Amino acid sequence: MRSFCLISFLMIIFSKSADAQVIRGIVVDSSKQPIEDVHLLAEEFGQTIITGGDGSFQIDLNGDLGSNGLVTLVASRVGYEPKKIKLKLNELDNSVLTVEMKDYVYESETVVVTATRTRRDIEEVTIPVTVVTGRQIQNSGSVRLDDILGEQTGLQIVNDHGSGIQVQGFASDYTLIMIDGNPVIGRTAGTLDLSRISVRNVKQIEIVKGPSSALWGSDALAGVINIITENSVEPVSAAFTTRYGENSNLDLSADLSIKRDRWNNKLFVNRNSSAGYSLNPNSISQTVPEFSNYTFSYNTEFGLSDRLKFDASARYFTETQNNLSSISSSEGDQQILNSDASQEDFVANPRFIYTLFDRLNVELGWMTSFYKTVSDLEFRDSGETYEYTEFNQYYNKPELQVTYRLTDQHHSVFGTGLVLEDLDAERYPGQPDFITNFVYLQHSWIPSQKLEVTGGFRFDGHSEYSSQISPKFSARYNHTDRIQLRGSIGRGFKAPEFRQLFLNFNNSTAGYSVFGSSTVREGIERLQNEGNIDQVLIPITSLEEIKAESSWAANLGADVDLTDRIRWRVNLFRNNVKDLIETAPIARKTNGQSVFSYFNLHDVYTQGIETELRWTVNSNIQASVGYQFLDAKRLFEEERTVQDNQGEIVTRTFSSYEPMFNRSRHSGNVKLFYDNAAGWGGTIRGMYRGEYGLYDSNGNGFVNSSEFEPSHMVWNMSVSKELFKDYNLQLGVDNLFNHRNINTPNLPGRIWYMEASARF
Amino acid sequence: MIEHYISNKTITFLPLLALVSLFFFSSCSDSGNGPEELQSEIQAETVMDLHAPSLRDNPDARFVLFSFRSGQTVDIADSASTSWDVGFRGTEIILNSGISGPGEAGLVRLDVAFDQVTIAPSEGYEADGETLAMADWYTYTGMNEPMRAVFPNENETYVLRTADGNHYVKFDIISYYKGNPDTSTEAFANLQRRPASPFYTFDYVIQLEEGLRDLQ
Repeated sequence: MRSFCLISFLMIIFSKSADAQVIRGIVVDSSKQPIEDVHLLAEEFGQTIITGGDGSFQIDLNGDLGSNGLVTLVASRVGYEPKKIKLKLNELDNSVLTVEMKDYVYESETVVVTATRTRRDIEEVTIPVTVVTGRQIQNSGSVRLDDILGEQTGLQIVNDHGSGIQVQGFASDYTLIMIDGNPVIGRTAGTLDLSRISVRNVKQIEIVKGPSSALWGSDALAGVINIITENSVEPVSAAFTTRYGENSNLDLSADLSIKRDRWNNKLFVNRNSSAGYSLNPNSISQTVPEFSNYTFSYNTEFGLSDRLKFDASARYFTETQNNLSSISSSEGDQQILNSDASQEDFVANPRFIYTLFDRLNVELGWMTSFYKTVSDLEFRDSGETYEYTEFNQYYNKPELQVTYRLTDQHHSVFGTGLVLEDLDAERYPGQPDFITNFVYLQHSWIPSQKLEVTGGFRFDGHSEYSSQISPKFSARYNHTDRIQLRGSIGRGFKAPEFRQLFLNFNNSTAGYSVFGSSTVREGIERLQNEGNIDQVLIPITSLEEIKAESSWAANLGADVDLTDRIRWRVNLFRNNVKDLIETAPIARKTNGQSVFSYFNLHDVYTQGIETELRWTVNSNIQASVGYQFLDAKRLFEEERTVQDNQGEIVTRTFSSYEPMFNRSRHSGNVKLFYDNAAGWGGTIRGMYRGEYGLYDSNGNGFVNSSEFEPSHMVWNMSVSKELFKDYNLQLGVDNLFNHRNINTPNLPGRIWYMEASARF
Repeated sequence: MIEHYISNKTITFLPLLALVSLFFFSSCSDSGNGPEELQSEIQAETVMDLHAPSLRDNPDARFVLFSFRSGQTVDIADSASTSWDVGFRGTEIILNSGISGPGEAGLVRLDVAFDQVTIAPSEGYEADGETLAMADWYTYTGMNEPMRAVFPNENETYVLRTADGNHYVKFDIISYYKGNPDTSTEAFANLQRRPASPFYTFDYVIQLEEGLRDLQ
């Protein structure tokens, strides 16, 4: 014992003379970039230290030499494989150690912004984010956004005035779609047609399920899908892609990016066209009409000084469609109409980003956007106009955002702004406009690497409906290195749509009228003065201000690394939805028809389990299986005439929850991705959709056992080969077994395609 | 010419009868001097294929009148009497009251299954007005499969007071088609092969004892 102390003492003296009681170093990733927030444990000394923003660390051993002059350093961080190194203290001298950490197989250095409005590691954020990478999109041969989203677990493409997305059982109205954080506007009957969006220049798609209104405001009730466009790292790069497939579907893309010292530019052009297809041989209208569209986008980034940066993005999309339709005249003969439609949308968002000091960022931007549709129906024989309608929507959003990292343990985001919206369309006389002002605040507290807690809220004050406060709390807890738990509780809302607020529509042939909640008083009074109202069913004075549709939701999930190569993700969700807006009669007209308006009528719940297993078999093969169980039901309240104990008549309200249409209880997918060093690649993907109710044949408002459409499975395959490093050829077939059904208009049957691309 | 077949099967529920009388006895014992004990006499009937052509079938079609008390059709010549309770013509069903007849027939519509109605309410009976009391007794499928079919509302039971105002009846329409066919078959969905209409099949249960409301 005594001799041991003596040796220690001698060694301390020795080490002092060698000046090696301080270990200095830097932690970097495989691409030599510094990693912050890495925990370093000097095992023999029980000391822990965390790397700073530049990845550097310094462990002061206070002259302690330990038992044998050896020290074991253990570096650990979420997203990286733990690393252990043994060092001899006396050999350290004053050198700076470099510790290189390897990424976990699944956890590439994916940074996401949709979860927190700041750039964060996907492994750290407190709400689960699914990322679809650009490579995955490319390997899958996807062209438009609906192609790739339809292959993801828990997402379902549903068709209603375009291809929309169903998330956690919500119709497509309730998911916010963004490109680089800017909302895409322009919905028809609530659906934002995903085929408007090309996925050629996409770096990744971030998918957040569950209400996210606390950060993103209206429409983020079921979730948020954010498309992050590519940003090149090369000084000059260009790419061309051409693809040709069945139904004369041609897709041409080109992009060019130039990166100078302080000035980055990126230009993207896409043309997509098709001859369309028909799934119903008895109809002269094509299921998907002949169309051609163009997308242009431009991004620029300019460093004005070390602290001040300017960036701007602009995107323009235009499409024309040609179809036929028919009407029967009063004599009963068919007349054929040429149906031409066009749509365009534009968005621009210039921003200044100012770094006030190291940890405080200020962003000031002004997003401006418009969406326009034109529909023109002409008699094919005479060329006379049957109907011409135009719809113009304008959207402006000045916004200020401040992000502040007080310490490594405290991150805050604050934002405020205005949304100014205008409408210009026939059915909306008086060109309605409305204003939303909003404020949001979010704070994340990271007491340790194991735990992170985030809380925040957003206030949306609106000129036409009740103001909204949307809070959200979420937390991540790393039970062990292999088990991460995430939970959240939050509120989401969806603002009433234009038609629900401002519609002023009189059907001249059928004789009924529909008014929005903001136009109904005026409309009823006018009809009354004209003597067209027989009876008012709901007194105008008792009308309440319309409320936004809203939901409270809870999500609880886990990511479990069963082995280094197998990750299992599971999430349980429950959404309680209130005040869904529907039409109801408000008055009876003298012609026997009704006057309708919009009311907060329905309550709904959706709940389920989503789970996915990903297995990296080896460096060439990745396989995954996904499944979602969904239970979506609407509350029905019915007054029934029944009898009391004495047999006398009483009216009682009976309530029950009944299944909703267009929701599959079971859905899932299996995928296999392969690529090798020789440049060969291949994929097989199978998507299953379980049975679902579609047509309410008995008109009771919910799905009965006789109203189910059968389940179906769609298989897609592709093979690709890289040639001479810069070129790539791909051959693919979608819907291999030729599933065709008029109820799935987005699936034209078996589709062959061929793609060639070059990147310089 | 009216063709119809009535399957008479008077059912006397003896044990039930005893139970009902017991109930009456006990419930009235509080008043001290119970009224004269009434003997419940219940008769359950099924009427098959009562043919009641609509105006479309025959522009001169008259209502087919029916008496729950006799279980027989009543000649149209007696339409001004209280000898009939209900009348059928196509999908129209009238009651002998209000604008349709001189009687005191009335109707209560209950959102309860037929078997679960055990007693008639004492009040709330509706006479035929401009809107017939029995309007909307069916659902028309229109363009939904099976197309253009008439289905009686489910889980709806009609309690009627007879035209003389003295008896109570519960009444359940089962089919509008000849032979009460299975409506889920392809034969039924096929408009050429669908059995003829309007042929009413209905169940009813009548309390023959005047003034008693028990229907079970």
